[in-house]
Amino acid sequence: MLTKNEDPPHGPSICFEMVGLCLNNITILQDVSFTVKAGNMHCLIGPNGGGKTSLILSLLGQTPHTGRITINWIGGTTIGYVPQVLDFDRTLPITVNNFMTMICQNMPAFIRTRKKYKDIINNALRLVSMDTKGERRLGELSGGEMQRVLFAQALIPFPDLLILDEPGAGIDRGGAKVIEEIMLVLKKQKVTMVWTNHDLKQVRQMADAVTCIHKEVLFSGTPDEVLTTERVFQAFGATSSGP
Amino acid sequence: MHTQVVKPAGSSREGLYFVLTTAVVIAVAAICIMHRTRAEPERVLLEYQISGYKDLNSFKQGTFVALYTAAMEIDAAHDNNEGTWLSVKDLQERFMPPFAHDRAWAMSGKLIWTQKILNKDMIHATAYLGKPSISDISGSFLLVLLHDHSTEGDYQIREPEHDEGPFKIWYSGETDVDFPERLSVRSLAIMGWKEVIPYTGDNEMKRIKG
Repeated sequence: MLTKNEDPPHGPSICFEMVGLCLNNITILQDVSFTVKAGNMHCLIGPNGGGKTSLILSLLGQTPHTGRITINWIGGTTIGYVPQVLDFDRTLPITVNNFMTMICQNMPAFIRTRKKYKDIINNALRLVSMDTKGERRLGELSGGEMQRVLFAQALIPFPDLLILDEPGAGIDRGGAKVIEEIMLVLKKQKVTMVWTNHDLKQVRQMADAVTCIHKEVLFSGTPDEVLTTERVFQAFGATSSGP
Repeated sequence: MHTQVVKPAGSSREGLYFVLTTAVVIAVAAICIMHRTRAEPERVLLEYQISGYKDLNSFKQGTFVALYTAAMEIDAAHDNNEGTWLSVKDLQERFMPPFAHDRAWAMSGKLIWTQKILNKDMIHATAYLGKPSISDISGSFLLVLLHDHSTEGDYQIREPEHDEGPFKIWYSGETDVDFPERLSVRSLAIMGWKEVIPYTGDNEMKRIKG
């Protein structure tokens, strides 16, 4: 499942140049400039309300940002996105399999899942250990299970760029480990990943690069270079909602 | 390798699409309306016809409009009552203007109505003659209704006399007229009766807008 036909796969590089975002006269981002290298796992850290999710949404073209965001595609142009939360009516009579089917095909999911997508969906769910819960109603899933499903949907079709907005938030330890393992495999496959993360230990262990954002870029570089105790304290110490 | 610039989301493009879609809908509607619009053919009054709009004063117009409405009722009642015509008394009991003796009736010259039924085989016809009691307000009105029941079967016989509707309304400036023996257009025209042609939409527009 976690292979792409093109060999070797390469994710794109991304360049943020003087990116700004102002909503309702409130400045959320200002002069954000940094580069995500091709095939890198790039973490975005910063205090809550610092603008990480807004930057992710700007990268997806979902906000009226200023400045310039360019994606330099090398191979394919598929983007996978794992949102922080999925806002939906929990009484909706829709199963995990229905949800995954909606991601894959244009034909309404309630009619049937096309045969060619069945295996793809099962494999994606198996990767996050959710293949036995395919017929469970989406509203019945726990927060952690929902995160796994959201992660699984981002793998279909296989992404060249994977954008993750705190996929570990609210997830159980087992689930976090599963997702971590998959991300390491994706890293080996040279998929570019932009990942907002609060877990600095995980960032140190896994990330190729890290950018700290609090309205503007506080620091950016490799974890070894920039994640010094002093800088982290400076970034998070001033706010009551640190990591 | 190719470079993609992420476009900021904005309402400007959505607004543009909305305006364009609206413009297309309006343009299509305008084209359809222009394509389907037909100018109403101008009605030329024949020698024996007068216009309800131009040639009748307000009292006569009142009687004419009431008679026009009553004619439709009489026609419908004829269909419902298995071919019998409503009498003047029936109409008065139903408070149907201009037959009912109400205030408008008094102001419009107190027309006294009489009726003749002229059914012949399958052709049912009747006429109501209204003569004024007050001569300087109104002349006489004649309502002629015709039903050719033979056209309801397999045989379609055209009604040249009443090809535009089941009734005609006639007016005469004379106050003391006899009930016409024959109700054909030709006979009535010769006797000096004038067929009253109702308002058209254009007439009404002219009346309102001037």
